[in-house]
Amino acid sequence: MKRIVVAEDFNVSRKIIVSTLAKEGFTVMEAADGTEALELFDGRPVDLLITDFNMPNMDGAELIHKVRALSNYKYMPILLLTTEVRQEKIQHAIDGNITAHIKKPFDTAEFLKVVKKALK
Amino acid sequence: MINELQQEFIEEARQILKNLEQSLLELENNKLPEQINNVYRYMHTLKGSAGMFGFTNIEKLSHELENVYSDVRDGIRPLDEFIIDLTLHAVDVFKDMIDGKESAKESAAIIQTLKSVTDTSSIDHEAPVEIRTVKESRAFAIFLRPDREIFARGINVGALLEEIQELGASEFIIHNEAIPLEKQLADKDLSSWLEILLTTTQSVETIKDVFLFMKPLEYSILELAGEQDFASAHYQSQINLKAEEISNRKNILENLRPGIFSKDGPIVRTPHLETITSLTEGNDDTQEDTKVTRKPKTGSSISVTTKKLDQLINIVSELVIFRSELSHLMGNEQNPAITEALEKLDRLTLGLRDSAFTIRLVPINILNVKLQRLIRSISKELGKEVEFITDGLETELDRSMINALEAPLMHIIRNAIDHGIEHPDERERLNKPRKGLLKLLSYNSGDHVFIQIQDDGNGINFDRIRNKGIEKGMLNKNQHYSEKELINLMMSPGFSTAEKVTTVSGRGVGMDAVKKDISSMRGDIEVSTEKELGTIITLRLPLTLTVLDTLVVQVDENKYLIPINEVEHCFKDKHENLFRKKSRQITYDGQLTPFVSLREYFGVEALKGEETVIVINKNDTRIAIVVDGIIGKLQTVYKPLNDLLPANCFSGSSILGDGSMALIINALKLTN
Repeated sequence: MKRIVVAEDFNVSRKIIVSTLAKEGFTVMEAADGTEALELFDGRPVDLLITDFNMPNMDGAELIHKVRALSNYKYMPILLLTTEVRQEKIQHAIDGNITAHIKKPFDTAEFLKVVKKALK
Repeated sequence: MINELQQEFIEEARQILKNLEQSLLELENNKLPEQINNVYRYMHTLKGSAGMFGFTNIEKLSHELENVYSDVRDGIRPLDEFIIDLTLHAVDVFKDMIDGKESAKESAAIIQTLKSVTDTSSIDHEAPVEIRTVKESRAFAIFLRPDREIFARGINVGALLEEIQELGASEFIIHNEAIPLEKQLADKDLSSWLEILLTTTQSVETIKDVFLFMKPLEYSILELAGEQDFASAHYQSQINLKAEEISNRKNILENLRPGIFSKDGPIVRTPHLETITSLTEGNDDTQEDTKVTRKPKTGSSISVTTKKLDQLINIVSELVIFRSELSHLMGNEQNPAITEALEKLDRLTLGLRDSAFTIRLVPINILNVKLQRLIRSISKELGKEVEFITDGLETELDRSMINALEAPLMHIIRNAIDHGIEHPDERERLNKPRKGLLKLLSYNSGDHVFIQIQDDGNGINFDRIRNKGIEKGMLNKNQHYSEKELINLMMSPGFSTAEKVTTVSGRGVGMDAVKKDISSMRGDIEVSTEKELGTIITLRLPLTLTVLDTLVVQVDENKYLIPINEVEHCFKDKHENLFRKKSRQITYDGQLTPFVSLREYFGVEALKGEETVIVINKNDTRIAIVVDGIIGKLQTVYKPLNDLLPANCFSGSSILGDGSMALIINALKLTN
């Protein structure tokens, strides 16, 4: 069973993502910010991280850097959720650490396609 | 006097001529029988309908050309450059004829020339065409050069290679394999690159999907139509093959799928054939031939004049506005039946709007023919050899943008051939293939379309830009400038680096015109270049020009709109805090940012108390705007302003939900 961590501060979005993934049979762990998410990376296997960029306490970029620094998650696929165009600039800084961007709002079918591809 | 039927013929003829041009250009590179047949067929159709609608001049000329291509098709006469040149010339004459221009002399001259080279005796022009429909297997070469950090991006290269194997029959040629590939994969440190030969019945889209997470420069897919493609510039730019290596690769493909390149085997197609062509219906000849070359992508198509389309879009836009007006009026209505009806109307209107806008979308491909002709004529003029490769041109853009894109694209391509790609001898000296590679690719990402023009020329000469800048007094001699600054300079008005004025480029309008055109479409331009390796120019354009997400702000009694993609940050502050300093600057993100108070700008009495600051970031320039407050977000239909309104701090207007008009603020103009 593939385990996915979803980090997103906006409750509505997170619930939608979590239920979409749960319906597909994935085990989903959710976090409302970067700090919460980081706690989930306690050495147990995680197959995929889906994270928002803008989050309180610890943003997506910091979370990604911290997770990548942990030896167990060095090569784990990471999908970054993005909303606004301006963020693309910031994203360049972490482009070398992530698998792909997913632009919000997203089409469910398209989203699942990317998730499944990342889990291959 | 042109009647309606004739008008219809004109529309149809234009389409035929466009297809004809495309086929002729393909023929120049590759004399495939199916293209010859296409040219023949287009001539035949053109002749038939021209006769029917009384365009005897067109009928006469197309008849002569039809005869020539019929002979070529039947192998009675060879097809040479001369004939292709002559036909391309004839296409121009046909265009003049359609436009009603005097062209009898030109036409007579072409016919005369044709007669002198043609022998039309005893040929059965009605010989049936052999039709073959097979679920064809196609051959591809895939070049995989992942960045070394690919594993750090969480991409499983092993799984990716397995996915490629699942596509069909494949053979991996591993280059630089100092360490076995398996070990490299296990160690997550890839130093090899891969050349993959694949035969598959899958579509190009399915193949591309495998590389969903790869960056555009990490992979390249080339369809192989025949063994000659191993010597193509695209292949050569990836790896330079010796004759013996080519025959090895040919054998590999032959083993993967016997007969892949032979005449009796699977149908051979060129990579450029992915053009969407609407074929005229109702003509038995064309219908029959269609099966040979084109798989119809969509069921059928009709052509509609742009005027009718614009009318539809206008009505839909009005409807969208009316919808918001209605929901505004019904704001406090508690009747559930009415609310439900309103929601239904909402859905229908939005659905109608979305599909109406997609009608306006056309593939970038329609520019392809023009670009190919441009490339052909420029490279001939400059004595350079250029192979033009396109990818993803089925990407769609708003019709109006395609038109606006033509000039900048042509300019960029002109520059690439003139300044980028070296002369064949020079290239040989540099160990590059004689033919320069020019690539035009396009892809969708989010709500933007990216168009990329790549060349493998000598890259941008920064020293030359620097010297020129100093010479023009635009740069300081003693200061160091970064490459980015120099690129910006290159794109600023009045800068052109051509050492001598050629007919091709260097006419004073340079990249600044391109930049202006692109930003007027609300797009961005990015240049990346590497010395001696080439230049990549990326254009980023919004999907559509007409729908705009905006922030509605209040200033005094009026509402204004700010495009949301320009907004970087919003916050509230007390009036006296903001205006404490005379300099009209705020500190944002550690930087001093100038601000403009709209009340002050419009000459309205200042608001005491709390005001809202909106930080705008457009083309890397930051400016803040002070308004009374933010009302909300609104998706609006953009309407350009006419020239009567002098204030250029507005870029357009739009209608709000309550039916009133609001102006869209062009923030960067506020400081001027």
